[in-house]
Amino acid sequence: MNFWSRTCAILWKDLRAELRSRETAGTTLVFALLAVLTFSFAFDPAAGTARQVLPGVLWVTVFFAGMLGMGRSMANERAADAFSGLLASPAEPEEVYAGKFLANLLFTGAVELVEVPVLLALFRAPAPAGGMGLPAVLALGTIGYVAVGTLLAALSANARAGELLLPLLLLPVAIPVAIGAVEATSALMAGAPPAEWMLWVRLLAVYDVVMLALPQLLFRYLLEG
Amino acid sequence: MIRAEGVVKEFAGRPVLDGVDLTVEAGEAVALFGPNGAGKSTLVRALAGLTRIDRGRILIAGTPIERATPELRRRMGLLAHQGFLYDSLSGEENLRFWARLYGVPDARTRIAALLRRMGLWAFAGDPVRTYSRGMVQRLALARVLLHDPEIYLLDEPFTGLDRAGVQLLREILEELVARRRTLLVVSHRPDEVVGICRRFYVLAGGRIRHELGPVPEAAAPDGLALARSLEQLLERAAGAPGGGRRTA
Repeated sequence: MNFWSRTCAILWKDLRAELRSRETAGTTLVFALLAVLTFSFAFDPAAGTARQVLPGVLWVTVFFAGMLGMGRSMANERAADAFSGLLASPAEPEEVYAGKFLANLLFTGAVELVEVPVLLALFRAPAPAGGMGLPAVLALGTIGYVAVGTLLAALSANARAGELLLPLLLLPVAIPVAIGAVEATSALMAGAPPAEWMLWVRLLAVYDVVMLALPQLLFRYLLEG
Repeated sequence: MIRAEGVVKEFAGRPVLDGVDLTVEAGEAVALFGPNGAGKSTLVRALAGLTRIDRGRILIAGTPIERATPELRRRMGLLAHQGFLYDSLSGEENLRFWARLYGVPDARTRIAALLRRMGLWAFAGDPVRTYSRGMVQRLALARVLLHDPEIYLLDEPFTGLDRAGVQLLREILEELVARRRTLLVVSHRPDEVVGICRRFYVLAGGRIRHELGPVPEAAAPDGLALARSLEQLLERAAGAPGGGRRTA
């Protein structure tokens, strides 16, 4: 047994549970679409302001939908006291984190796959410039956000009223990824040259590296409570 | 194999475990009794490495539990109050997940055999949320047996089982004893484990109040008398939290 086989076991378990219950992806997707629809009514697509707020709307809905999913995923572990079972098993906390991170990343990514085309259509936005720029920004922003979100969702799952605690912990820590992702998306939507949005892409990449490294040090202590 | 020395655990300044000494030798079956709130489950969680102790030390197979490697944890099986089972997964999927984590060889055959033995084969594909309390306990037992550990920490394993389930569990425990597995069985009912375990601890108020045994095998048929003696010790310990440790 190695790192990846146990990580994949945890990922498989989360995907399997989701296929059976459709709790997380279903709820988060419906939330994201409702939020996008509400924003599309609030901002007139014919007016210029709609395109200006589009990057913000995109990332706000991704963040809140992702938070719902990550909170739910960790609450399931808590309900079964499964963190204790995982700690008592041969799985290392880093493997548990990696499995949960990948599952959360897949769920959030799946929501984005549906949400982004709907958002662009409702806001009548043109296809963004920069080739693979927008998918790259989406990927980097989502990785960083889910990396820190998975860590803090585990922390809040072990606390009383954890669902309320998660937004209070996560949103301030996610400010750098929010700024970087929104700025990079805005530049891409405006058709700015790569030099203008690459700075933000670099910021997102650095944030991702830090937020993926941090749980390797901290996750063990969070699980142990 | 399992050794707790002077284990102290406090919650909010109140000692839940107050200098517990306990030993289970390799291949030995030991029962730990105690009234509600005695600290039994806290001790089991500490022995499994799930609760950090404030003082003392815990050794499993000679290794401090806080330094347990994945290999050592693979040699241990823990049955806790909650069975570490996911409601939305089926019984079979739950076992498949834990089998993958523990690296169980030929898992499909092993899972099928355990589900049949536990009387859950007909419900193997149903989500655990549809199981009764007794079925969940049977599945939790199957989960513990799955990787055939050497060391078993069983916290109230008879909880929720009907008469047939109790009989089945007793058979399984007897088989484990015959196979020289190391067992620590937590219970508050002596009649459940007399005849299986040969040594008994009574825990009350966070301290070991009595240690009984080892009972010779020849005494096993007289289990009823032994159970009564243990019940009396248990009642006495529950009624006198300040009592000292005695050895019979």
